[in-house]
Amino acid sequence: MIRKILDWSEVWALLIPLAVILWRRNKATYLRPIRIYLWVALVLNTGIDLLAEYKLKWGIQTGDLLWNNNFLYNTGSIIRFFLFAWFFNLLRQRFMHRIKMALPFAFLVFVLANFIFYENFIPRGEYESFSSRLLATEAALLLFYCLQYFIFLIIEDTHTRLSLHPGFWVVTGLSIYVSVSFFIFLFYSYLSIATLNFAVTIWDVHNIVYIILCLFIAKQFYQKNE
Amino acid sequence: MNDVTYLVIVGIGVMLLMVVSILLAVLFNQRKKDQHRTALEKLREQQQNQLIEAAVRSEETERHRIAETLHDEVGAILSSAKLHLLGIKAQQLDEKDQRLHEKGRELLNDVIQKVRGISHNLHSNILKEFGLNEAIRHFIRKVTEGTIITGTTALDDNYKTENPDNDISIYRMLQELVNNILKYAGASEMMINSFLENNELNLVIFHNGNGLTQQQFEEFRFQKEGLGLKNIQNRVILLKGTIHFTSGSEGYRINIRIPVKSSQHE
Repeated sequence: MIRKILDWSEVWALLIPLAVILWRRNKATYLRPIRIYLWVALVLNTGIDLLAEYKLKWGIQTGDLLWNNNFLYNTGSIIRFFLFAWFFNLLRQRFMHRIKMALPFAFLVFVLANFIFYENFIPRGEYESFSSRLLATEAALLLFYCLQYFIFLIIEDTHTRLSLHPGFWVVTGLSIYVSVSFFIFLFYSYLSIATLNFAVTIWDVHNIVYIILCLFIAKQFYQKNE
Repeated sequence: MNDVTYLVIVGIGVMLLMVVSILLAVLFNQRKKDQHRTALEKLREQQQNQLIEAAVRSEETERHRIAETLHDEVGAILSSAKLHLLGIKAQQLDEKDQRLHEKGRELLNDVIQKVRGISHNLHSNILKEFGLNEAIRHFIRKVTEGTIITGTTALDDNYKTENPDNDISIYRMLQELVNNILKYAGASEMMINSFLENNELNLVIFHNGNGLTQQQFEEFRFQKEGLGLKNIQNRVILLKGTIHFTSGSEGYRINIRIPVKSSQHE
C-alpha cells in the first residue's frame, strides 16, 4: 500500500496545490507559471505513472515509443525549468536581472545540443534511463535561481514579513526539492543500472521532497493576501 | 555501500544543509531587520513626541505671555482710563454729555471685564491653584452663563493632580471641545463626567446637539481649518491617551482616556 502511495506521489501530491487553487482563487500574476506547471505536471506525471504501471498489461514492448516513460520526464524537466524561470523573472527582483533573463536561452542551447549530439530524447531501450545530464542541469540552474532569490531577500532594504514576500513559499519548497534532487538526478542513470535497489530507495526520497514541494506551493496559493 | 551510493547520500546531505543554512541566514537577517525597524520606529515616535511636547509647551508659554500682557498692561491702562473717566464731574455736564459719559463708562467696564475674561481663559491660574476639576467646573459655569445651553459636571474628586503640565493639556482639550460644541453643535444640554478606572482618567463629554463622528474627526484634523482638532490629537499623543467620538439616539459622546499613576486609584 505504502509502495503504491509513494509510486503515485508525483500525481496525487499535485492535487493538493490544485485543490487550493480552485478553492482560494489566488490570481496573483507572478504565480501564473506555477499554475500552468501544476496542470502540465499533472498530465505528464499521470502519463509517467500509468506507463510504468500498465505498459506490460497494455502489451507495449521493448523498442516501442511508449516502452520507456523517460521522454515524459525529459519533457517535464524542460517545461518545469522554463516555467519556473518565467516565475522568477515575474518576481521583478532587481538583482542579477540579466543573468536571470539569459539563463533560459542558455538552457535551450544546452537542451538542443544535448539531444542532437549526445542523448536520445525518446529512449526506447530496456536500460536507457532518463537524462541525468538534463535533470541535474535543470536542478542546478533552478537552485541558482533560488539562491539568488534568498540573497536578494538578505540584501534588500524593505521590511516586509518574510512569509509575505511574493513567491517565498514556492521558492523555499523548490530549493528543498532541487537541492535534494540534484544528486539523485546526477547519479540516477548510473544507480539504476549498478544498484537498482538503492535507485528505487533514492527515488522514494525524490518523491517525498516532491510532496514537500507541492505542499509549499499549496501554502503559497493559500496565502491570498499578497 | 559503494562509493557512488555514499557520494549520493553525502551530496544530498550537503545540499540540504546548504539550503537550510541559507534559509536560516535569511530568517536571522529578517529578524535583525525587524529589530532595527522597531528601534527606528521607537526613536521616530520619541522624536515626534518631543516635537509635540515642545509645540504644546511653547503654545502654553505664549498663552501665558499674552494673558499677562492683557492683564498687567492692557488691563492697567483700561483701569487707569476708567479712573480718569470717573474723575470727570458728571453733574456739571449737560444732559447729552452726561448720557455720553455714562455710555463711555459702561463700555469701558465691559472691555475691562472682557479683557479679564480673556486673560483668565488664557492663563491657567485656577487650574494651578485649585486643580483640574475646579478649573473645569469654573470653565463650564462661565461659558454656559447667560446662554441657552445647560452645562452640568459630575467629576471624580478622587483624581489628584500628579503632573500639572498634563492637567493643562487635558484642560485645553476640554476647552477646545466645549468651544466647538458651543460654536457648531447647536446643543441645549452638555454634560461633563469624569471617573478613574484601571489607572486611567476617563473624561466624557456628552451633548445633545449635532457633533462629530470619529471619521469626521480623523478627516478634519488633517485639514488646514482643523487646527484645534489637530492640537487635541497632539495633546492626546503627548499624554499617551485615546480619544473616541461616538453617537447614539440621545446625542454625541466624546470619550477621552488618559493614563494616570496607579497610586491615585487606591
